[in-house]
Amino acid sequence: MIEIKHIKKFYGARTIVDDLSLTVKNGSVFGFLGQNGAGKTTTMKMMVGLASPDEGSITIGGKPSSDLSARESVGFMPEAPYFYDRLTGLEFLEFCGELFQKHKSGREYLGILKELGIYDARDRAINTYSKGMKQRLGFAQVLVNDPDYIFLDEPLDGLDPLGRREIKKIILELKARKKTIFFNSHILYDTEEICDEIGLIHEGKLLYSGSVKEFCKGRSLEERFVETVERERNTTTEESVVPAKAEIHAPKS
Amino acid sequence: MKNIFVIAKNTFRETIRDRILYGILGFSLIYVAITVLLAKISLNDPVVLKSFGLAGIYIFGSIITIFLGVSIIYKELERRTLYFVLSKPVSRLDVVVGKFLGLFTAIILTTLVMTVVYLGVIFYETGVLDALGLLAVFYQILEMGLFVALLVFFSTISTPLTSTIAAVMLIFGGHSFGAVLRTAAQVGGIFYRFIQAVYYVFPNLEKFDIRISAVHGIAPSGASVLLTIIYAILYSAVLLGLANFFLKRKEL
Amino acid sequence: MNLSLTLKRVFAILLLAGAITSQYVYDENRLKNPPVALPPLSLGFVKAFDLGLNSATAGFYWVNQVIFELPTLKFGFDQYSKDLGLINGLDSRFSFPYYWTVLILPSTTYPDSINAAIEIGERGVREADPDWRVSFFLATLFHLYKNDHVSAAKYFDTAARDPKAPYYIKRFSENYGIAPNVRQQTEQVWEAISQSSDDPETKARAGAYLTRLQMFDFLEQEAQVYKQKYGKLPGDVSDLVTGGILKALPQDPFGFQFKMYGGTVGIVK
Repeated sequence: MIEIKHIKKFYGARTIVDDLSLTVKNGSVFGFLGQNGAGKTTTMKMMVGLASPDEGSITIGGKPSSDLSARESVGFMPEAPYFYDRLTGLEFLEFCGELFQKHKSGREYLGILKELGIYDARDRAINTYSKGMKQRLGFAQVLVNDPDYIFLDEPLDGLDPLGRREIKKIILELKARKKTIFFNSHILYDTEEICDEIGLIHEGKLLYSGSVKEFCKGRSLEERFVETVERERNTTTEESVVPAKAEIHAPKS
Repeated sequence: MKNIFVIAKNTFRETIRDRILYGILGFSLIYVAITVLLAKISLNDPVVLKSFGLAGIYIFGSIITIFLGVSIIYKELERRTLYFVLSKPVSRLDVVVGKFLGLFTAIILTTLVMTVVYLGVIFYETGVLDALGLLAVFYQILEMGLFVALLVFFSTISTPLTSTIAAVMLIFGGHSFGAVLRTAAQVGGIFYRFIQAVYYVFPNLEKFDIRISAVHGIAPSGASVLLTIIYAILYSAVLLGLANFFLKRKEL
Repeated sequence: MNLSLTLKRVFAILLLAGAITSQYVYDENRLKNPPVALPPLSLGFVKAFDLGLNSATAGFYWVNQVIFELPTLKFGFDQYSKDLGLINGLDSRFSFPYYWTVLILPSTTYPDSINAAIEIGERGVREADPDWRVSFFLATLFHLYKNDHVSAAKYFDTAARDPKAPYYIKRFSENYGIAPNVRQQTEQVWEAISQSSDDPETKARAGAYLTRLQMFDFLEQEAQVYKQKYGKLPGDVSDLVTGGILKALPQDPFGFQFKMYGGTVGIVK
């Protein structure tokens, strides 16, 4: 289980994540949705140990996310990943794998590359890869330690429709193997297809966390997402405007 | 501990595949070979030959070190390649020490390549293996190790341009702090105390320069060798510790 | 402007030719102008910026600049002395500048060249790496110009003790003082120098000294022939020509004139 309890993150005077709490059940696929700058990537970074919450706690499989041992069972794919350009795809996978106590063998790495459709480029330098190939390699390195918890930041970004279908298929296969998958995405249509539960974050606050069906209520996820975000935006605007109105209509003493 | 060597291996591999490194190395080898011409101009004076050869190894070694080291961690932070590494069971210290070891190993290798050519030239001209020259190169490697640690540290706190300027200033300063201190001693007072503090806090690179003795056939004492090694290790450890401190506080 | 590819290539070649021509004209111009001494650099300044590469800096400065100031002392002795001082300050153990100065300085026009060369040579023996050439050339100065055979013997001995000294240097040095006369000894000195050196200039200089000494012997022999013919020794070397003994006088390799002193030949500046 992934448990996030009342986490807050500040950058200077700005609040990036504001008292966020949610739980992700083992073996489920959780989609974390929000606009640009909502706090999705920051939240994910705190979960995988790239950043620390200023308040609150995060546990992954019962271990604090700040513990190095917790990351033995974690796989993370950053958004629009950059690589070590002079390494080959296979060398990069081997490097990532060797950083774990338990990792796959050489032959298994080749299997991963085949699964992701970049086997033929395994001995080519990464700086010769296309954007889509780099995205696939980013996904491939997630699997080197056969993790129980998988974090993906915009995994479908930069992929053509065929590529997106392949990745979605792999995500569902991982789910069938009881992996817990937490991912950020803008592509709501695909999210709807594969997620069991979703979380909706807006300006650092969690607006919704729960099942997709319950959220959508028979409509499309995109419709409901836009509606929810706009309502929140309008509420925030009213709250900042209301004190001025109250001043005008207050009875004269 | 294992992860340090994994990162070191990866850093070494990335470094030695940099084509610009081969450009600089190529120039350095041409330079060392050209010192054969110098042998003719200087009437086969071995002192001239050795001092030019060792100076060339030092100058090109420093250029390669600065070129490779100024952006070693900065680049990973900017390009977010560190995200792959630090999201795994890898500590910031593993990254700092691993990158240091990987880069240092690459620099040792390039220095040894230049040294082999140098020793070949000296042997060809004098018929003798320049053992003291080899010791001078060993000292240079210690100096470059300290310098790599310095660059790793700078890389965690500033941009490549600032790091380059600071590194060049320190390389000049590190060889002349002793002279500045001697001059300050004549002035005395609080000025001298201040210069003394700077002298002891900043890296002192003069002790790594035994070239002038080596070309004249004078070997350093055993105690001096030991103290130099200890200084290099301790100071490098301080710098890597500082790098770890700042990297931990960096928002990725 | 839409130039054809050929025109562009021709233009590029003309640009390159122009750059090469301007470099050539610059070099020609520089050759016509008198050489200018480098501005005086203090030892402290050089040491502050040479990254501790003192011996390489000394070697570079010596081989590229200062060595060429001899034998004409083109910037004057004071400048040469300062430049040499800078090199010695950077690397006092570097023997090349010392022995080269001791060898060449005496043949310059500087009035006090011998004493200056001796001072530099003695400094070299004290401070430089043990190098037989410094002490050997210094000993030669004492022998030739000061008639100080004690100092000469001392320094010849120092040279002989250098394990790197060639055999004929050791042989000469260890047998210094046993030749019957000074000129014979001196001829042996220059013979030893010529044989031990691989440098053409040093060999040429030693050869020139030997030639001159042989000219002395020759002219003194001809003076005896003159005496046999005319019953008295010639008053001047030119008498050997006017008296029909020689067709022409030999030319001193260093450009001095010969002078006759009662049958013995010397030189006049």
